[in-house]
Amino acid sequence: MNHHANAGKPANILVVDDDANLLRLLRESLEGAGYQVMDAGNGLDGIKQLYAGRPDLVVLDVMMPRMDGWETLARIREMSDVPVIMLTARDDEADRLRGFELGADDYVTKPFSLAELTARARAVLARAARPHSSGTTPPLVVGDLVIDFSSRRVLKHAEPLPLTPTEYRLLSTLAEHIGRTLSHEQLLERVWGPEYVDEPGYIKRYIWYLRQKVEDDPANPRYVETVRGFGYRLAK
Amino acid sequence: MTTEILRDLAARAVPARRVVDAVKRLRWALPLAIALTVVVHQAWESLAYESWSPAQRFLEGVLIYGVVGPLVTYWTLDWIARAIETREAIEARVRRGERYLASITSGSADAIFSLDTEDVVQTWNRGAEEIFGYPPGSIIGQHVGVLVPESLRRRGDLASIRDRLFADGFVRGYRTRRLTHDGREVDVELTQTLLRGEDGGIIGSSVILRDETDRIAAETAIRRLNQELEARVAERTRQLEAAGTALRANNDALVAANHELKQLDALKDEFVDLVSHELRAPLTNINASVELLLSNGMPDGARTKLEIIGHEASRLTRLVQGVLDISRIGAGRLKLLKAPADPADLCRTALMQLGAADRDWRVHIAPGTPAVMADADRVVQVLGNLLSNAVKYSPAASRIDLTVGPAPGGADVLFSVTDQGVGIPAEEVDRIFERFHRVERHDARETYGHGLGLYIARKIVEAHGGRIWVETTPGAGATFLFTLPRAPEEP
Repeated sequence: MNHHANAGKPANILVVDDDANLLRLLRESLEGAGYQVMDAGNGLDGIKQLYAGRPDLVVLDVMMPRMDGWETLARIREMSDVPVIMLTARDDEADRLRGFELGADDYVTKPFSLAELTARARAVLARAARPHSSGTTPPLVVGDLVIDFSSRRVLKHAEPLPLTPTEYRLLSTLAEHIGRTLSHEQLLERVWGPEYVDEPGYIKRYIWYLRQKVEDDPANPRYVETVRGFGYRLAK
Repeated sequence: MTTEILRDLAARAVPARRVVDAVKRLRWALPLAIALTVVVHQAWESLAYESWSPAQRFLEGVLIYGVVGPLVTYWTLDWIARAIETREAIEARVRRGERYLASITSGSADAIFSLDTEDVVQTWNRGAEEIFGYPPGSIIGQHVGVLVPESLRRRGDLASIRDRLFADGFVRGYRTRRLTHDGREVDVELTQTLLRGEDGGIIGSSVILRDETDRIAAETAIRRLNQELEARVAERTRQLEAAGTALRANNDALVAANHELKQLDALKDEFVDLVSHELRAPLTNINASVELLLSNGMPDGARTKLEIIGHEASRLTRLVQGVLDISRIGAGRLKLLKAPADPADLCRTALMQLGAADRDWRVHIAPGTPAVMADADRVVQVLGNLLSNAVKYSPAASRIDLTVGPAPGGADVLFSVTDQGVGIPAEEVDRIFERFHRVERHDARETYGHGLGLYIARKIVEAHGGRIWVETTPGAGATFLFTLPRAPEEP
């Protein structure tokens, strides 16, 4: 499935929420921002629409009757790596973490502003639109780590690591340039998107998260190395 | 005279055998010595008498009768005198001992008397007289049975004592009762021992009766006290059991109340859930509608009212958020997603979210300020709260300082927000970080906030291991300060 928006054609966004009013507002807002919008009132319809319409992005509400957002996300991930933004009315950290590890690309907590959602959607789409080596590059083995680009999974001692999408993108970006140092700006642009190059705080935070999961001793990293004052590299 | 003395000595049973033996030996030694002297003399005289001169005969007579005889006599009498002296000393000691012995018996508070083989009283001490009221004269010669109460006599009390006495030679610690002269019965402890003569034959028995009346009375008193004590213990136990029952009942009531409280708590959680979802969903739609309408370009009159709706919806949103935060803090569910964060980023994000405000902003991040170990979203929330408070309580165009730098000591990073507003009354300073506390202002035209913001800020800062406080001069502004631990050096 190709979810990448073509340069000329507006991106197609599928919005799944049981709140009809919100659906109407989101449609108007996103269409106003130049996107094509499909919508679905429940998870099952959402999956059907995903098949039929092949959207470039899914905006998925967590709290829905019958099949909730988590389950819908799990079903979507079984067959597609389409970017997903979760809408949650509970901003508990547990929800937040859970959303990331289940493969959500971002989340927005209700009540949110339409401008915020639109900005997030744009960022996620821009990220997804960049060509990446999915399916073409063979798995990379670094020490005890195996980075499998085709399945977007990272194994350590043959056990899959629970990386969030951002963490995976950060690691895979470093892996694509293994041994070479990437600057803060390069990493921000490639992992988060060009509009994030002025947000160096993200880098430090996510490098820290990544090391907690990847390194044996995060205080003495052997994979993700700091090049002081410049950036980071994945050691060969 | 010697013989008389000797006979006298022999007749008396003197315990010192050595003296008697000596005297017995002397009884034979003295006549023998005399006889020997006479024989020697006579033999000598018959053989040599004729050839001796008168002078020799005279000297010989003097020698034998004048010297040898008196010497033998003196020697013998001297021995006898010494023997008598020794014996008298011994007898005096024995008599003294007997006096002691007798006085022990006679002076004892216990009744001590002796019986012959027929149980007839032979001696009767003072103790017996005191206890039983019989003077010695009226009881000696009577059968001991007069001291036994009728009931015991019928039961063979004396016979059983006799049986045991003859079986073992003594009876000890036998508890019984005896009858006094005036018909009273006394409790006694009896010790009776067989008495034997010099030839070993039984000559009677000695009896010691100890008056047990006082001891038994004391025992009875102790027993009564014990019973009283036991009764009191029982009573106390009963009271305690009653108290225990009451306590259990109370406990049951408490358990029930606790159960009810838990149900209420669950209900509260459900309610918070309801607020969390059902209140936020419509707020989202209101906000979104307002946002869309405003972006579509509206006539000025409608725009102003829409802005008011948007403003109020935002307030409601913040209130809902505050209530949820309070609920989460109260339930101990405030979880932090900590990671190294750059203080400059945190400040920038907080200022951005605050939006435009007509103030003279002075933001100063000290060079070399280290990263903090923090949940960035939560710290932005704290900063946002302090910044919006500063805006709320200070005049337009006044200066607001946001300063960040290493805290003194170096382990923490210190954030401070200083406004030039009304300040906080001294009596309020300690309470502004409490839940639902709001500073009362006499000049307040309107009341801002819900008294939740600073409480939430304190909880968030404390959950990070930091500290939050305020320094203020009423009328001259306030500085809110908080610390966060610095992040470990990046490897």
